[in-house]
Amino acid sequence: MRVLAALLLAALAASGCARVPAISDHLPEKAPVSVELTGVPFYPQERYQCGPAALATVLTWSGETVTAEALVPRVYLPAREGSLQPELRATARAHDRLAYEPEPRLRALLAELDAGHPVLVLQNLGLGRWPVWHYAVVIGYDADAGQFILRSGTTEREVLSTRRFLTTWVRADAWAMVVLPPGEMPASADVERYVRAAADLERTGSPEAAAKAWHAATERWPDLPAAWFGLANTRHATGDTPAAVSAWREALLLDPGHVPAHHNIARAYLGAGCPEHAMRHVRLGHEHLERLPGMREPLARIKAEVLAASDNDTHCAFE
Amino acid sequence: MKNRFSALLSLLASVALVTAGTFSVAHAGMVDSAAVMQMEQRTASIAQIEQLLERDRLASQMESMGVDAADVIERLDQLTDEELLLMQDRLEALPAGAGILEVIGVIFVVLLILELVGVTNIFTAI
Repeated sequence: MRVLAALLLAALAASGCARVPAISDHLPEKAPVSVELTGVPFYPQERYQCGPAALATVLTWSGETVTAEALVPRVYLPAREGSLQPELRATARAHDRLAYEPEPRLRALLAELDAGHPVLVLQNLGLGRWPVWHYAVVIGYDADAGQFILRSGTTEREVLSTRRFLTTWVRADAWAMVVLPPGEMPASADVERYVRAAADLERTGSPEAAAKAWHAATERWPDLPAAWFGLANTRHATGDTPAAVSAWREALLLDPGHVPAHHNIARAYLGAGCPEHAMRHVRLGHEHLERLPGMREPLARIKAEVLAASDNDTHCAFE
Repeated sequence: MKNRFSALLSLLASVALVTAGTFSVAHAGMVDSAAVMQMEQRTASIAQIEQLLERDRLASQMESMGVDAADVIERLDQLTDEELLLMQDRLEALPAGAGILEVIGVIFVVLLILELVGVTNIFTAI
C-alpha cells in the first residue's frame, strides 16, 4: 500500500507544478493569515451529485435556502452522472443571485475568501487524459500551514495542501464561481466579468434582482455607461419609467454615442406619450449607427412607430 | 476549451444582429445589455448563427441524456444564448462535475497501465 501511495505522489508531482505557489504571495493586502468561513452550510453529496450539493451550499449561504435534492432536477445530467458549469451558473441566476466567475487566479480566489465569500470550484481529481470532474466549495485557507479548506463530497471539512488543491483546480482551468445576493460586489470584481454576470442576470433573472446588481455597478464604476444602461433597462422592466429615463440620460451624458441607450429611451418616451422626445433620440442614434451596425433594424422599427404616432408632446410628462 | 468558447462567443455575437428585433429583445422592444454585448462582439454571419442555435435540438439531446421532459424547458429557459450555444452538441464533452467515487477506479487504471508497460512491478510482486 505504501508503494501505491508513493507512486501516486510521484504521478502527481510529474504532472506539473514544479514549484508550488505560496498562499502568502497572493494574499490581498491586510488579509489575515488564515480564513475559515465556518458559517457556510454543508450538504453532503449523494452519489455523483456534487453539483447540486455544491450549488445548494453557496445558494443557502447567500440567503436563498435550498436543498441539494431540490436542485437535482435543475442541474443534474443523468447520462453524464454530473452537472455542467453553464447550468450551475444559470440555476444560481434563476434564484435571483449574481453568478460571478472570478479570474482563474489564486489571487482572485483568496480575495473572495478574504471578503467572506465561499467559492464554488471545479476540480479535476484525475489526470488530464482521464479527467474526474468534481465540484467543491472552498471555505478557507491557512497561509502558514499551506492549506485550503473545502466542503467537498461527503467531507464536511476537507483540508488539502496548497499543492494538492492547486493541481486539481488548475487542471480544471481554475474555474470558480461566487454566488452573491444581487447588490453585493465580488471582492475581485473585474469590470468586464461583472458586466457579463449582470447582463446575464438582466436577461434571465428578475428585473428587481438585476436592478440591484446594476445599481451596485453604478456605485462602483460611476463612469461606466454600460452600468447606467443596465440600471435603466431593469428599472424600466420593473415599471419605473421616470427612474429608467434618468439612468438612460446618465448613460448618454457619459457616452453621447450610446446607440442602444438612444433606442431604449426613445421607446420609453414613445410609450410615455412623448413622440417628439423619441424622435430626437432616434436621430441621435442614427448619427452613431456605424458604432453598432446591429442597431440599424431596431432603430428603423422605432422610427416607423414614432412617425406613425399622430400625437405631439403636449401630454408629455418629461422635460 | 477556451478557444472553442471564444469561437462560440464570436459566432454568437451576430445573433443580436438578427434578433435584436425578435427574441433577444425583452420588455416591449427594449434592447437589453446582453444583446448589446452580442452586437459589440459581432464577427460571424447570420447564417452560421441560425444554423447553430437550435433549442429543439438541445432539448432532445438533454432528454436523451436522462433529463425529465418536464424539466428540460425550464432548464433551457434559464440559459442565455451563449450558454445554449456552449451546451448544444457538447453535452458529452463539457466537464461534468460528479464525485470522488470514481477516483479510485481511475487510479487503479493508471497503475494497471504502468504495470502493463513495465514501468512498475506491483501486481506481480503482490
